Amino acid sequence: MLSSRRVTVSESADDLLERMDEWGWADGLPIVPPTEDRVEAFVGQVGRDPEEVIAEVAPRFGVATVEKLAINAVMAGCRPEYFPVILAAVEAIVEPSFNLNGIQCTTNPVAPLLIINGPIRGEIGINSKANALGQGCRANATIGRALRFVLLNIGGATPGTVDKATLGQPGKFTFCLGEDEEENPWEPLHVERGFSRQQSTVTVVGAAGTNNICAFGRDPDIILTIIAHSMTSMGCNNVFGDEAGEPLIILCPHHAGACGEAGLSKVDVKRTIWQRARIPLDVFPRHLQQEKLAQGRVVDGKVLLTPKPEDLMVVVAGGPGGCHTVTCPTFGDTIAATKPIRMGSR
Amino acid sequence: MSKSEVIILDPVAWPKATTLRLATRPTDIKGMTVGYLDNGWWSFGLLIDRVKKQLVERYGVGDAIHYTKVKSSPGTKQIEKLSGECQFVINGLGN
Repeated sequence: MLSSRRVTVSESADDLLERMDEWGWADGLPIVPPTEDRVEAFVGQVGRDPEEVIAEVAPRFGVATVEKLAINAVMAGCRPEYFPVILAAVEAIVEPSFNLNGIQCTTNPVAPLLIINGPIRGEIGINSKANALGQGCRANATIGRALRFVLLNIGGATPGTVDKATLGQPGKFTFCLGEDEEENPWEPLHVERGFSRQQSTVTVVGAAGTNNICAFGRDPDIILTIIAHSMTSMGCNNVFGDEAGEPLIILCPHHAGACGEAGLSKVDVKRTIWQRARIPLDVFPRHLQQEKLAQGRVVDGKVLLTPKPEDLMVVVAGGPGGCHTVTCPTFGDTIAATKPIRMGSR
Repeated sequence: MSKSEVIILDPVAWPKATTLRLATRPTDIKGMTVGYLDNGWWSFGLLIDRVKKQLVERYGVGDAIHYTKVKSSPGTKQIEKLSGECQFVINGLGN
């Protein structure tokens, strides 16, 4: 039995869009009306009590019940079979080390990026290949959008008042991809983080945007040098902030394959990038030089991107044939969280 | 409900009803040690000089200790340090 307040609205798509705009329930784009039968289908998909509390979502700490999450997932255009991913993603974003309160309220453009691992990618059609971070895949598009609705309608992150992002970024509409485990020469992200290969998981990363890195050829030394030097942006939180966090590297299959064929492990890749991703201290403004020295982030007159190579996150995704890796600077004061996806009773 | 209408469910969720208790507010701050928890934003620096002046001239506060936030939300360690050294704190939030 669903307990949420019932609201009567016009069936007209135009009128519904106007109401969403007026009530601030959506993102400026059309929604799927969350009718009782649709919401029940989502709750039924996971076989859980609609009143079960999954989390309390900062900064308002609205109570995210299965029912409320289902309503938001319907609105975003999800299929019922996507719903287990959303439940796991909500469990992940409320991990204290993820710092959702900061992420929701900051002037930084940060948004939770969802990385899906495991068999569920094939089962529900998650895209981990060409244009994985772009348009065209319903699962990627609507799962990320559903999480945004949760942050808005349950977390209370209304743009401009609570969500104080100076400019935001397109990833605040939706930000979701799968890892291409089949093209990954190393263990995939969820295995690196302690899960079995057969366990489907979602990992949330507080990503401040995407940075495309074009590196031609198959020489890993050249590829990793270009990636490293493209990550050294003085203005990103990972560099100038107090907390370095975990910058994310989404290696395209071409770059990952080149490194793998050359015998490099994922640890080797992280260490090589980390050793080369440094900014000369003397180019920093004087007060920041003092801060970086005080933080112990300076080695041989250069500022480290992160204190340790293992702070870097590496996943593999993208289409074949291209030479475009993407890196994501993060909010800095956030640690990625991974949760298992429970498939429910159906 | 007419044929052209549809009933939808409200997606908005609110916090549990809880009773929050504020720390006891001092009625007289004369001679007290005040902490200023600087969040690093320019607006804190702009405002706090005026606040400091007012607190001394109008309310006669005692010592002032300036702290810098080590991260966006002060952790338990910093809060314990503040509560041990100060009798009240002006906390910089946002910008």
